[in-house]
Amino acid sequence: MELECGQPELLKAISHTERIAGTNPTLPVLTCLLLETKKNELFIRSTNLDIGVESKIPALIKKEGVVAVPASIFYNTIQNISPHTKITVTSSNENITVKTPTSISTIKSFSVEDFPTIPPAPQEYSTIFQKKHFIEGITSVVYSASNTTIKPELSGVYIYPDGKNTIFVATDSFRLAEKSVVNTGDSNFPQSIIPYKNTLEVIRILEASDDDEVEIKINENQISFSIGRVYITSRLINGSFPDYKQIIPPSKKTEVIVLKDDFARVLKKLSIFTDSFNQITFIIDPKKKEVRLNAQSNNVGETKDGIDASISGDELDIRFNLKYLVDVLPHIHSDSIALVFNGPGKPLVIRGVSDDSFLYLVMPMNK
Amino acid sequence: MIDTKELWENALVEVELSISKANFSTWFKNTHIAKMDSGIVYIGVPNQFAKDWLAEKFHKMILKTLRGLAEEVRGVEYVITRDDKKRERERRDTRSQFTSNELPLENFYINKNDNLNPRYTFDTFVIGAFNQLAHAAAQAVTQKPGIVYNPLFIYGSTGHGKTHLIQAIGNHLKKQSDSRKVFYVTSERFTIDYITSMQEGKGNSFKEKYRQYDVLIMDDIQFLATKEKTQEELFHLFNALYDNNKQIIFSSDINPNQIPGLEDRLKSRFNAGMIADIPEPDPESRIAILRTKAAQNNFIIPEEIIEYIAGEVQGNIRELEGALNSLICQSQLKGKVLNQNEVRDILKNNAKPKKNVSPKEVIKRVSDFYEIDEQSIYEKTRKKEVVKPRQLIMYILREDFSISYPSIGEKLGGRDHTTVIHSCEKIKNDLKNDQILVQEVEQIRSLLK
Repeated sequence: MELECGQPELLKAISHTERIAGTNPTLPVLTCLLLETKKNELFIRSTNLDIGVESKIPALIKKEGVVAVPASIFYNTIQNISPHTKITVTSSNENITVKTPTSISTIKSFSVEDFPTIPPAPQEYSTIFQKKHFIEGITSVVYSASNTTIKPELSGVYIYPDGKNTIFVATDSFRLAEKSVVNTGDSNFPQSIIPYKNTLEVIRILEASDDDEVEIKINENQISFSIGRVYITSRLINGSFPDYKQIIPPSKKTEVIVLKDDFARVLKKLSIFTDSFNQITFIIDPKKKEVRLNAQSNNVGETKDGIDASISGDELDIRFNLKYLVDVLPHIHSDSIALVFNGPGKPLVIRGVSDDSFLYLVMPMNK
Repeated sequence: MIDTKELWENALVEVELSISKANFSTWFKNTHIAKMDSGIVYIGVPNQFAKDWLAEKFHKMILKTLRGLAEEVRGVEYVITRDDKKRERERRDTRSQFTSNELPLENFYINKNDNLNPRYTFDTFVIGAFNQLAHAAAQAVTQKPGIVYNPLFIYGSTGHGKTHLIQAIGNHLKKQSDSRKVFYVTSERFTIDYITSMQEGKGNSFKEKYRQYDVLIMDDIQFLATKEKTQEELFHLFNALYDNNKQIIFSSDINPNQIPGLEDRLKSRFNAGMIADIPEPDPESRIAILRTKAAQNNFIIPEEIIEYIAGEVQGNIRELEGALNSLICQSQLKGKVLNQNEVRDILKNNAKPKKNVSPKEVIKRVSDFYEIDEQSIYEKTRKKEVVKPRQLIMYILREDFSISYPSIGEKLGGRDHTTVIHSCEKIKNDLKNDQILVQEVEQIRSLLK
């Protein structure tokens, strides 16, 4: 194989694929990028058998071929070549050589024999999604997904259609986030659960792309994304997401409306004083028109903070994990937020005031 | 019949020797034989990557190895399956009391492929004298699906555990064999499905969809009454499944023979299998149910309180559960075990208000029910259409309201108490043989509640 291309294009293509190729003790070739030339394009692929990425760039191909090269070494080599340089990559026997006008590096390569194929895009369903909508949907909820695989179906972002909107949901069973975004394409987006780690990779690549639209194809087991010159395919989680609508409390026992910035500041202060369980206490007294938040830690001390709020409903004394409350704030775009409590032991509902597209549920902590 | 597990283990031993260790542990880990069907071995793999790679690189070797071990193997296919074994839930013990409560998601898992709620299993089904027969029939079906008791028809009033029982059969059959296609559908859903498919001109795909199942469970069949076209479709579906020895399970709130507007040909087919009813739970069963439900909620409740609730709440199981739930909630709030007085207060709020029904009311309701003139009950007429309701009124007044024979006679136009005794005896005897009469009495009683 012998090819010539510019440093910036090559670096960008590698950066899309390099992170996927991690450490894999059982099949070492998976730590590699697969470089393959076809006509006047260079294809760069990587996979961890959960997600696969293929990025292509135009290149001057002098001799066709395929080679597998350790991802991080190749990436770091190319990254530290000054931009706007022409790079020549040649493969020979067990090495590849990266040549610039001023340098020459030789990297040991792997046998391409064992490098798996990246599954082609499913044909069953396809749609065009506005990139920013898809990114918004995922990022608004993904932090709530479970990072263990005890319940596989909760370790992903659940996507399903609802009329003209597409709904994104994630939960780790202690809190749940739901975001509804407009899907200008097809309204029949099939129900699917994408592993949350893979959604992060997808978002990273989508954000780096200059295109505005992403083509999504889905079947029962696989989802693929095509944007610009990058193709991503991910496994879908095979399971059924719980019918979470039933746990959204229909009533309002105590409602507190606060300014988002005030709330964020108080939470930040409380975070200094929380113990290892991150526990904070809300004491809501509608008669005195007062909301107080307390946190204490044996090592640090304690703090009691009042917050300006409009309050209605019953009085309440309830505890939450601070982290769960902090997590959600960046994803609420309204100036003020509504905290709807439903009595002891029942989930707290958080929404942006006058924003119906986002919903967050948190379970309280025991005493 | 070949033991597929053993076959695959033997095959893996051979495969392991002929490929590199890296390849073996990457691609053959977490694989199994999902099923074998007329010579084709379906290998279950965890993801698309493995599916493509096995088919591309190792197909010949797998086929050859399998054929070497079992001659009848003609082909190999790969399917992506989920690994259920990982789903063990043991975390609960390790969690400290400080962590957050969980969202009660656990209760809302419904599998989209078969619509079964995994919560409904035989383990959680409380068996008492009242549902013994239905339970035994269900158990028999799980042992020989499609052969004994096909169709199985379970009927009983709302909240008596029909849905639980028939879903438990489905869940059990599914657990027995992964490849068995079980499907649970309510008759309402079935109707909607049918209508939509007709509107979209996809009648065939509707037929195909339902005909592929090995076990079809249809709930609340009484809603099909008067929907003639849907009934016809069900009739054909029934025949198709029945002829192939596929198990079919139905439920309704009354005996199929008494569902008005249900076609005779369907009724006769229901009668071909087993019809079991689940009547109202007896007091002992109510106690057993309460105990089980309390244990499921990790709630300790004194024996005398359980007996008290079982005596007070006489309705269906759902009402029992409701009463218990509000009890649990209250005692968690108060942080202590409630005493009998407090329990009584809670149940008072919970219980349906008992109406005081006067004998006059009974007479009115019954004569309305039989569409006769109320006045004729008091008269001395012996017309057949009046005599029966009149006897029924006497029976109900005696049985349900414990009014003395002479005073019943007095209230019904000054009849002798021996007449009343005779009437009550007659109805009692008739009830033993006349199913329709039993239904009528039940309906009248429910009108009076």
